[in-house]
Amino acid sequence: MRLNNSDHIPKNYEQMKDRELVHLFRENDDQLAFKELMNRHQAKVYSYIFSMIQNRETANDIFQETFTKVITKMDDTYNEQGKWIAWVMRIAHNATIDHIRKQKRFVDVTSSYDKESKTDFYDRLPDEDSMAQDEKLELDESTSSLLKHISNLPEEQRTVVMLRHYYEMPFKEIAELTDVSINTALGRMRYALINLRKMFDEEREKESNSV
Amino acid sequence: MSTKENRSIAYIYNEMDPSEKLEFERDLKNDSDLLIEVESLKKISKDLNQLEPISPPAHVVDAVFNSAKNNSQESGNPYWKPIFYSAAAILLVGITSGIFLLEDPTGQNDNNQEAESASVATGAQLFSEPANSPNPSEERERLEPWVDNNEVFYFQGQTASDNSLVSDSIRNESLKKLTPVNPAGQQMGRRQLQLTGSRN
Repeated sequence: MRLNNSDHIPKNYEQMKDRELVHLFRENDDQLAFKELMNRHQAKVYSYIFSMIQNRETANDIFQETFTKVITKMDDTYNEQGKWIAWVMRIAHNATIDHIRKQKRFVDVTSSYDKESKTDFYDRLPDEDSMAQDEKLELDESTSSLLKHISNLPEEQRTVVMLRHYYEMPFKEIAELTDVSINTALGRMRYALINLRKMFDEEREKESNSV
Repeated sequence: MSTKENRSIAYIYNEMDPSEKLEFERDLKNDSDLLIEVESLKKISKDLNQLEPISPPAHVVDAVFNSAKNNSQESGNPYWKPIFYSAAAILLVGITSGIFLLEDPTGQNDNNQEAESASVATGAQLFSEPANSPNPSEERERLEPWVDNNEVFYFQGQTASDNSLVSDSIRNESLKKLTPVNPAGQQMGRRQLQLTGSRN
């Protein structure tokens, strides 16, 4: 049986908890259970990856890589006592951070700090690099605007914002996932909100000036 | 950054204990700056709640489903794995013990034969010929011929006329008890007839 996006999922699957679906998939190789799990979480996982990477193609690759690992490692590394989605998010987060670090390593070779302008390579990157125009058009206007601002946040602040807002992940779990203390996670969230407030203010100012 | 500064975030995101929350709300009433900060951060947080999840492209989701399907085909149904391994182990033990049981009597025989042959060989060395006896032609070659040098078969007082008849009858009588060493010896001269007592 080939399962695709259009396959109908029985009603009782929709009422099951993640844990039960994971059990069905692991023990009975129930593809419908896996599909239901995907339906529940795929958008949030993808949103997190996309918001961190800001590139559709790369986000697609990392999303696929994440779920390939989920499928192949579920028997070996997932403990059913824990939340399945937290485990998936850890894989997604690690894959995303790995990619970002690889990109940084690659760029660091040519980056240099400019004493006159007091900027480095990242500061001089044009905005178009962080989000392509055609990608913006696919998204809702407010989401697109928000994502643009979020993409300008430092990576660690962006991570906390996305994990909290897409996943409503408790700060304790965010702290565990990112290997920091709860206090640091809370602090990063606070700075993120303060920075976003500044960005929103600047945007409003620009809009009012243009009018 | 102090924990005190982070209290506003914990309050906004409802991650305070009830007692902490009561205490913080009391502080909010008394500290207008804190109240302004909390309200400001709350607004940004509400804006962030407008973030709509972005769905992955259908072809990517299909690729994941196919990956799941292929993985299950490659690895087989995990539910049956323990049963499969148990059955394989039982089968292996059965085959091994079967082979052992079938081979064991043969092995015992071989061992017994070896033991017996060893003991027979010892006995043979003491009392008799080796167990593997040579064939008659070889034995015949090894026998030393007894030659009638003393003319046992010399017949005195026989007339020339009936000499041949008498000697032939005596020789035939002798051949009942003695065997020519070489059948061709019958063709030899009678004085050189070679006979043996062995009838092998």
